[in-house]
Amino acid sequence: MSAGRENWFVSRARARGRLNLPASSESSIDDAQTEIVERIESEHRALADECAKAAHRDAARFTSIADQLDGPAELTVEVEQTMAQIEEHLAQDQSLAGLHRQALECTRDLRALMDRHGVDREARYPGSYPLHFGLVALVGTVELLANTIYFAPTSESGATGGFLQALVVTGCNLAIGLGTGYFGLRELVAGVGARRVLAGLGAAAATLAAVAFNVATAHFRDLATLAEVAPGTVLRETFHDPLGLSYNSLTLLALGILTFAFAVWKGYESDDPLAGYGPSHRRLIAARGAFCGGIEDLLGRMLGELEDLRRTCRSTVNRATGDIEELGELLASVRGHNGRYERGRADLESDRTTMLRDYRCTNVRVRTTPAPSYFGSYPDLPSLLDDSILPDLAARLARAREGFEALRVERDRIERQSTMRVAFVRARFAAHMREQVFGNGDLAHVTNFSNSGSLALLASPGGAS
Amino acid sequence: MTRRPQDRWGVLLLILSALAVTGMAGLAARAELTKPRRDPVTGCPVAGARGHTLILVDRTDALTPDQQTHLQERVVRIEAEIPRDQMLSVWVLSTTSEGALERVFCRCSPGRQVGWWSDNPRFAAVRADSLMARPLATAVRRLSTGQGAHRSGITAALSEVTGLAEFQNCAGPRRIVLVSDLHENSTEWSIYRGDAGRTPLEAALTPLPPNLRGVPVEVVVIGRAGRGDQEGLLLRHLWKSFLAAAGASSVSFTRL
Repeated sequence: MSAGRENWFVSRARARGRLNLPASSESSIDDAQTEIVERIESEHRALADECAKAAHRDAARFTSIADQLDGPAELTVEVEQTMAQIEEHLAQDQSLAGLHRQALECTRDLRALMDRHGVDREARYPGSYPLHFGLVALVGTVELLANTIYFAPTSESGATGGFLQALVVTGCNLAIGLGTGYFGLRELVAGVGARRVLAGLGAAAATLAAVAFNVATAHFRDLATLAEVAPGTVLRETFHDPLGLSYNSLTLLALGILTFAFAVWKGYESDDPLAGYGPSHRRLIAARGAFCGGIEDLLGRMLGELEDLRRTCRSTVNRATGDIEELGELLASVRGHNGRYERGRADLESDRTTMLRDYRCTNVRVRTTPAPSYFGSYPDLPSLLDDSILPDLAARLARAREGFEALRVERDRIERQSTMRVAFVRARFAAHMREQVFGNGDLAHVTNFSNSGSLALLASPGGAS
Repeated sequence: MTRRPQDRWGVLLLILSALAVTGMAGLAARAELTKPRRDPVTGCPVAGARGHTLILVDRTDALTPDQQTHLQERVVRIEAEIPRDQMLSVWVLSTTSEGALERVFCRCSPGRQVGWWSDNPRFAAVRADSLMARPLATAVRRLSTGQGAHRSGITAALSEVTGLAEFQNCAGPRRIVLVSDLHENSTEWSIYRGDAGRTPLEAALTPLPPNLRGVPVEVVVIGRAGRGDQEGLLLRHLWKSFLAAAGASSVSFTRL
């Protein structure tokens, strides 16, 4: 209360006391005291409204959270939904049987080819075709660059003309070499009868042609460095004195023949010498890869559902932990609002009593007649707050804690059963493979068929059971 | 799709090889496409010569055998210095009795100093020999034959050749080599009439002075028997003054 206001009450009490007002026989409080009382009651009502609103807001939030709390039943439903989802994955699988059939057909084809040709060895072909031909390209590029330098003095356009000549020479060496290796040498090694003879003759002819081409190229370089060259001159020099070359042209010849030999080797190694063996083997590898990939995918999806279930259970319990903590905080908050109100009410009551006492004492000191009898008593300030909500909230919190404990127990139970559930999924998968993919065949067939890590699961005791 | 390391190395090799080949092919194509088109007769770029060296030989009096030899050597030296696509023209103040002006050689140099990337230095030297040096030597050799003329209008000849469009409109550096005994003998000015001591040489060409603005002029003086040093100095002074007045950026004198 402000000093000015107090002075006003005191001066008014003094003024009225000098007039002996209120009268000694008065039984109800006068206007000045009524103003004090009404003011305090107004503040009291405002305090009560504010605290009640805050408490109701927290209580509403409490109710909302408590109503949405997950219970053990929700986790049970999750388990059921997960198992249903796993069954749906199995039911929807249409591809594994086809992939298995394809792999079997490839195996049959390969075995038939091996039996037909009496082959009992692995197919030989590059593990990486990009690397295989990348090395050919690298060697070709090196020869191209070297030949550009060699041919630059022979061309009117310098290095650019030399580059074009080198391009032709390198291209011929690589093309003839790869062709000789792939078509001639492979057939010569693995072919039979007339084909083998023809391949041998062809390879020999191509090799001779390539060597002659490189010798002629070296002679052309020597001649063109000196003067204009006629084709007849080059041929004459080539056959008359094949190795009568300058040092640089001899190096050019050696480089060309080495490049040709490398290309022959790479052409030969491009695929298995036995015609069709390499492609058949690659088809089988691809089919096996596709089948194993399908198995990994399906089993991965099924086991992924179990992993999702475990994550869901953990997140549900974690969320519930947070909710329970928040409920406790909300209950404490509601209690805090009530306490704040009670403290405020006590302060207002004290203020009102003090003000009335000051007023009456001042009045009594200056009046000449006795004070009214009601001056000796002070009215109470009754509580306006409904605190019946607190026991209800406390009871709900207790129930929520019990539910949370049940939820944790259920989560622990589900996690304890996870190993068993994984074993069950593997068994279901194995049964699916037996019934839908292999047609009730021996499951060990699968493990023979692939080295996939996931298939090892099928052969494990848990999976078999 | 994940690739195995072997495949990645292979793809890298293929890409690098393809880049090397296509890069070189691109550079070669660029070098061929950016070569300027040339006039088959003069050997100059169609867009115009990139410079012009003009040699004006005063043959109104006969040269001694030594002078002829030195002239040939001098011209050959000048030809060897001319960069690619710059024009060399040789004009002669004729040996006919009228002293007419005649062009005995005109061609752009194919160049002797060329790069190895898009040209072959050995081929370029052969080309320069066959297209420039030999025809030029032949043309200069022909200068040594013939008789002296009655007139020697050197200033008029200089004015005429420098007024040609091919010289005036040339975008690159220009240069004039005047090979003469400097004995101007025209109706307007004649050393034989004693004008040297009275009238400046500029008076010889008052209506049409040569335009030598920005052009360096090298005067190769042909010595004449019976002429004293005093007269030679006077002539040099007169000619230097005349050429400077015509706008020459520099004037130098050497003796043949």
